[in-house]
Amino acid sequence: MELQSLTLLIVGLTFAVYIVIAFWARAKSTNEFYVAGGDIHPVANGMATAADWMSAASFISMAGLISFFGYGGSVFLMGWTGGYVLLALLLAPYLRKHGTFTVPEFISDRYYSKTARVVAVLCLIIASVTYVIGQMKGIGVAFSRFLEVDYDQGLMVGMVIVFIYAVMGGMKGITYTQIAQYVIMIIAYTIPAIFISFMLTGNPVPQIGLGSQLSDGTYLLDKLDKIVSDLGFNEYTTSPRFSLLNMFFYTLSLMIGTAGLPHVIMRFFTVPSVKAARASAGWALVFIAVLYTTAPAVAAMARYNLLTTIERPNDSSNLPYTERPSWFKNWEKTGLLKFNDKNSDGLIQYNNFESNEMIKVDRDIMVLANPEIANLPSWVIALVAAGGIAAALSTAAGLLLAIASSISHDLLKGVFRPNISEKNELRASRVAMAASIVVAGYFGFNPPDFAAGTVALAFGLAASSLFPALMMGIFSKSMNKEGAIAGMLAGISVTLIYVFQHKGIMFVQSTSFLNGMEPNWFFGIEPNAFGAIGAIFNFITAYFVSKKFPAPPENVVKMVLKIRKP
Amino acid sequence: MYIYFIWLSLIVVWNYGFPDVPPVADVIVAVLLSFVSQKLKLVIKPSLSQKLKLVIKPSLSKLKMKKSDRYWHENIQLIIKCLLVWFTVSYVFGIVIVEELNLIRLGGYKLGFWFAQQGSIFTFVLLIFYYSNKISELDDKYDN
Repeated sequence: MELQSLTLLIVGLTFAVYIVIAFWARAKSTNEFYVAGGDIHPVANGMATAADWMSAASFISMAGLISFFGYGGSVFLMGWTGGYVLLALLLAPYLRKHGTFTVPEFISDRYYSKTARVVAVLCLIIASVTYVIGQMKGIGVAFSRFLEVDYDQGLMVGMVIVFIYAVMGGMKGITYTQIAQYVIMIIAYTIPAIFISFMLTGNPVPQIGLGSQLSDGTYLLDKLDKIVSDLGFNEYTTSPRFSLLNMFFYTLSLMIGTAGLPHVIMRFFTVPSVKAARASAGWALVFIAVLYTTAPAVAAMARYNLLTTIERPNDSSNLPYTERPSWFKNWEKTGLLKFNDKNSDGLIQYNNFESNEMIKVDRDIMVLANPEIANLPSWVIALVAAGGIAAALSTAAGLLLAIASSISHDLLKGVFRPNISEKNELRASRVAMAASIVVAGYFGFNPPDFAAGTVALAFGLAASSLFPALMMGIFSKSMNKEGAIAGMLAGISVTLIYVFQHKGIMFVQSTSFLNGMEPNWFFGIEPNAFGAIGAIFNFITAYFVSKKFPAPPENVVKMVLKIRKP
Repeated sequence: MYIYFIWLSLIVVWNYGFPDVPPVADVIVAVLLSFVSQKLKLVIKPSLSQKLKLVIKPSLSKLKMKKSDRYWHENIQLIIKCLLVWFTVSYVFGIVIVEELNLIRLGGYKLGFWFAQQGSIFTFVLLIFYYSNKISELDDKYDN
């Protein structure tokens, strides 16, 4: 069967599965809509959390970025897993104990203030929408490839599908659908990795294969280091991303962002007990780790295969453009891969010198192109496309739900219209979902970074605003509303200003007043990594402001003591 | 001692906010900021020493603590222990001393690189289950 129709078939089949599950478990009340009635087993919840968590950024984009950054890409691996440790130790059990639907609700209870709630909703929306923009980039890449159209058209189709998908079901539908999605994603991710690892090193376990020898007896990573250095790129296993300090803060930013992202925290409201909340975080990380420890292997092997396809190792001759493989042609159609024969010799030169002719290799295409580059059977290629789409859809749906619930539940019901009926609350949340898809899609046409980079920005925003407020809410009895509000505002503004300075206001590149220029970076820390600094600002501001205002009332102190007991 | 930190952080903020000013402006601002730090020091110092007292006091009176406080105290100790491991495998092994560790090899992996891309993730998983077992034991001990 033709690759495109096979892809359509597999994507269609997996979709049918999700839709059937979504219908079967359609949400009927608001309680079910938001947290699935609170009766989901930790392992099931962990799996759903993993699917929710592993977005287009993890599935489609991350290995591609590691592929090009090498060691520097480790920030994503450590950052997006280490956050679960913080979540399990510092937040999840206590938030579950308190037992609210949403993060702003906890903040408004703990800080006895509707203003705090509105500020939290604001931070949540900013972070989540940025996150959805990242997903949109991934969705655009996936759809443009499998429909074989331009990126912009692919994105448009993707937006419509996300809309239908997210508006239809609530969390209950999503929880069970996400278990199905996890299974499809993990199969789609690991099968090509196993194939490729076996082909290159003879070891089918990618985590071991990455540290194994190639058929000529040299270690894969050593060989890769040599190839990339010869072509003028940075050495794969040792080059940091800008600097070790930058990597430190980048990792920190992603970790505390993980623990501050509302759509992940919300997951722990769906388990039956505090104990289950802790276990659930552990299980989620187990399921995430399967993909995250495979990703470095995918990254290195994809880079190796890409380079050896273009510069053939047998006689180190370059690939003639006319003999380029079909994946090359297909990705050229999306506009994400571009070749320009500068010296008109009809051969493809790909290196980091002046003579480079691969003028555009979008990092986000690597995972999807990987099985094609390695000449795997077409059903594997189709499966990867289906997995990528599942990843993007599941996270987009989870995020949209977080945005929707924060608007309908926290803003409307909690603050502005306490008497709103359940039906209208549901309706409002659906309108909010639709609006956020349009906004995120609009930015998706001109994304600020690769999918994983954009998502990293979202993490920075969550890290700088919500995480400190939540943590102080649990671990400090004396933090008052004034301190928390000032902290959240200080943290998110510092981060936003820094990001906008360098990436342009609302990510419009031309309005950036300091450009993306490295010399202008604060201690050489890139905007994507700035959330950690924002969080430090948040803590410091909250501490000093709280000293100037009265301590929280007696009942709030009692509440804090209560959530500390499991 | 604190005053230097206050001054330094103010200077850092200044340089970051206004990177393009001539050196003479930097000098003037540095002097001005030293006065500001003098003022700030008066505000900050009392609260810091208060804080120090608070840290020392609870550990002295540990035996006198209520049951629920003892539970919380032990929980915090456990969290700190786990977070030390968390910090060591990722930030220390994976980033700070990665170059030194890279001299050691684990098959085809350089050790520092392995911690950054594999080892830290495995440790994180174990760490969460370790914590959740230990804290369950604590829960039983204080029969919560």
